Amino acid sequence: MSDRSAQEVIRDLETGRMSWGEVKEILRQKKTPSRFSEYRETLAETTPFGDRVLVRVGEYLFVVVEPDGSHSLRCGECEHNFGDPRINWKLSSRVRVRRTLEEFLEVYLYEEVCPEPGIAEIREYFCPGCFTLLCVECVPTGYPPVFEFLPDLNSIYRDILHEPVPSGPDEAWTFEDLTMSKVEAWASNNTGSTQGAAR
Amino acid sequence: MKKVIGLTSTKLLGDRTLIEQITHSEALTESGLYHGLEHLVERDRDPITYERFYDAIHSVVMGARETSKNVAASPGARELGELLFALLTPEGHAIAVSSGLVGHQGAFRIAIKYMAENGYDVNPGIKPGDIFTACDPATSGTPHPGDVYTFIPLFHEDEFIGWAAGMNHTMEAGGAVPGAWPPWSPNTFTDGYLLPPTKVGENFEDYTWLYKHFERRTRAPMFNILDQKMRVAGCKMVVDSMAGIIEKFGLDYVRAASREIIEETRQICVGNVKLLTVPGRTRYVSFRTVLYKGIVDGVWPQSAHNWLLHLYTETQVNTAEGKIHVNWDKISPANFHAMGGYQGILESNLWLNVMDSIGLGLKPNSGMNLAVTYDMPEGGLFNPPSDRYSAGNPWASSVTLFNGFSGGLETSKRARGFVEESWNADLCWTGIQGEITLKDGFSFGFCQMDLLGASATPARPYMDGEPLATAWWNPASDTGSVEEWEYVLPGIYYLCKNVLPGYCGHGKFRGGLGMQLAFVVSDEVKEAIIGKIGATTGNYFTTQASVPGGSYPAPTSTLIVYRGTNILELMAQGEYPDGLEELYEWVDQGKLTHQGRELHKEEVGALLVRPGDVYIVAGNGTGGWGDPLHRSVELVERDVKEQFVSAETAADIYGVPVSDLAGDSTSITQAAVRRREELRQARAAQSVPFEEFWREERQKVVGNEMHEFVADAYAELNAFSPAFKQEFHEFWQLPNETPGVGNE
Repeated sequence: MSDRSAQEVIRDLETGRMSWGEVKEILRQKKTPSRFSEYRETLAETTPFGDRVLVRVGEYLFVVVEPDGSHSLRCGECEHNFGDPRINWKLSSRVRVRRTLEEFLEVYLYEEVCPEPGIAEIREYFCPGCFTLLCVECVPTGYPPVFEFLPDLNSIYRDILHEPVPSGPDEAWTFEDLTMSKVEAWASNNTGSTQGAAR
Repeated sequence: MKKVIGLTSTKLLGDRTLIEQITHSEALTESGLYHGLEHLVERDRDPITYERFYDAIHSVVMGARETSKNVAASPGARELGELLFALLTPEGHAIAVSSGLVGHQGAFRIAIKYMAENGYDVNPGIKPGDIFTACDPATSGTPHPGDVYTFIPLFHEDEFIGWAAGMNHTMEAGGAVPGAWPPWSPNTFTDGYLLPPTKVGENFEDYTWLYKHFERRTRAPMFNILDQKMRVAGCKMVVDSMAGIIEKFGLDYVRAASREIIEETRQICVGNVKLLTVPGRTRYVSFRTVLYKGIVDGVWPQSAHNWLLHLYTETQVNTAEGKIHVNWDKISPANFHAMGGYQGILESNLWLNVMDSIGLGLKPNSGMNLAVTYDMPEGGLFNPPSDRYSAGNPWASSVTLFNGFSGGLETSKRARGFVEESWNADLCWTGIQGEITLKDGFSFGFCQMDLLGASATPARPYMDGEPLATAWWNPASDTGSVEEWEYVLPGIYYLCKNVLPGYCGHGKFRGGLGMQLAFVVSDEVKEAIIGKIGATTGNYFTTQASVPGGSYPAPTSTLIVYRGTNILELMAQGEYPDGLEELYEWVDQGKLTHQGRELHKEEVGALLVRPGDVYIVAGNGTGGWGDPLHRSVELVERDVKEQFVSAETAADIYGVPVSDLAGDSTSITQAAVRRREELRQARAAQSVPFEEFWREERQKVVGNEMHEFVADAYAELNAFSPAFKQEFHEFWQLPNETPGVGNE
């Protein structure tokens, strides 16, 4: 593998094209600080965003630098824009909710090992642009969606990339969870759709 | 006058008592450096000697493990490797640990501190050859009563220099219900035979009374006595071997280098956080049910309740400073059930997770625990208001709590680009325990632990999980052999042990398949009690609410009991079912007759079974990574061919209609494109914008239109956790006067 670039190795790894023996060799290698940059270069090739990609936050979700210097969360399959990475992206997704045993059995096959209908619900979060499955959540009825990863973009620039935040609207970026701002907007706008059942 | 050797006077640790020594060390460590070490003098002066010294002490504890388990031990230790030996500082900090149940090194210091705080160095004294054993979670750090610790002090001539420690997971704890993890236990008095740190022997020989206690107060005395002998034998090997090491390296060197080894590990952990992570905040959650209502009401009315546990972990990663902080401010409160615990379960789990996530390239020891800080609120599930709370079964809830911690670090490492190091943090195990009484009157308690030694591995961003392949809590584990388990547990025999097809979380890379074990109660048995336990395995919910790979989390575990079957007659005719599906076919055909069927996803403490009963336990699957519609067609075809998943699953979950077009790879690829487009259209038709879901779900919350069990859980959390209440109210935009779930 030594004749391959770091980007090629990472790309082959992520696309499942490596044998377990090759993976083990990589696992044993010394980890180096250059990995983040190498990974970004790989993502620049394997995602639609080119060198505008900053960091991967999920299998299909990436923080991308927009032309005006702002940061957005986008789908790596169709580039759908989920908006500010500080707002839980699930609030900008489409969701299918499974609540009955029949619906559970479509994904968990045996009644004996299914979550309990009436107590648990299974939420499948899809990209509104391409309907890729982004996350599955099994929670009680009424549980707020989990916000799995809120990256600190300032620290990424300052402490990993050692470069300034791009000039533009996010120069004064703050590390905070802004999810509730979206909910508050919904609450103050009662004209939103209330029709139709989530499955 | 002959000099008395040992901590029998008040000032034998230099000029300090044991508690003064611990306080001194803690004060030095408050600097952020272990024991205040600013420089690793011995390492830097002569790194070769330093590494040779570490290698020597590591060999000592490894040798103790590998030898002692063959001297005397229960099958849990001998077959599964559920044991650990360690060399400790005087304060109980691990310098070197063997392979095995490595997490416990983080908890050893709790027992040592308890002995120090209570003046054990004065009464009964701490002398060479003294044996101290402990299994009381509130005082000794043992996570639950089935984990038993033994310590023997280490002296050089008349100087006390540390401890040899040994532990193992025993077969039976003597609780209100049989087994080592009593899941039905409302308080500490029903947890079992709990021994606070106690001097149980001298001159490397146990007192007779200890064995008599095991005989009278536990249901597996033979194995518990063997395990005690094993721990003493291993500790004595450490003590004896250290004499040679001290002679070779010198006492001053041993003391100095031991401290440096711990600080070096702390430094490497900090460096790994800087190197491997992306800064930010991660949150992962899981839910577990504890069902006591209708079971314990008459005897323990304060426990006549069903609980939904909120196991919520927020991890704050400070990459620049190499710091990680865990915030559990939204966790459920402690209550009168067996799923809570004390500090030892946190320290044990923490160490395990640090090792697997940021523990690269270091010497495993107590330095790892110093790399992470945490807040467990007072009164929280693992910080109970008093020492009267049960710690019967805390692994069941704490492993999943720490999967949330580890999941956060896996997410952070993937973001940094360390793809090879990241995985779904959802390893799990299931087990059966109980008590068997044979027709000849012989009765014994047991843990049937082969699923404890072998979880499926989780899916990773580049490969599927594998069945039966690992035990995150025990890097040197094994599932053991069927023959061994049948030998030590006469009366209950295996009908099958194999993977259950399709039993995983599906994904672009699917989780490892879980296992199914079926047993028959033979006619050698008069009666038997069985219980179901497990760690991380979901009961009313999936293993984790969500996983780093974003796909389907692992399904729940289960226990199915068929009462009064004709299986013994079928077996006499040479008929053995090969698993759940064949059993179901037999039931449908009327071939297997029965008088009733029970299903338990939840953990149960005591089900009475009799000859001819059949029970099946399934668990240990893991969750998937990525969208199943992105899985390669070739991998789906292989799964169907190998019978890992059915053709229906291939078509309906993976969008590969294999059965329609067997053998025609070009057509299958084209058919998959069409089928996957159909499934995407179904997703579009059956999903709604989240705002619409929010409005609909909000009405359920406002109107309290949810199962009483769930509503009770929200009320409990709102009352206990201000942070949960604030977020819950803000997210659903609830007025404060909202009745039911909105308020306490």
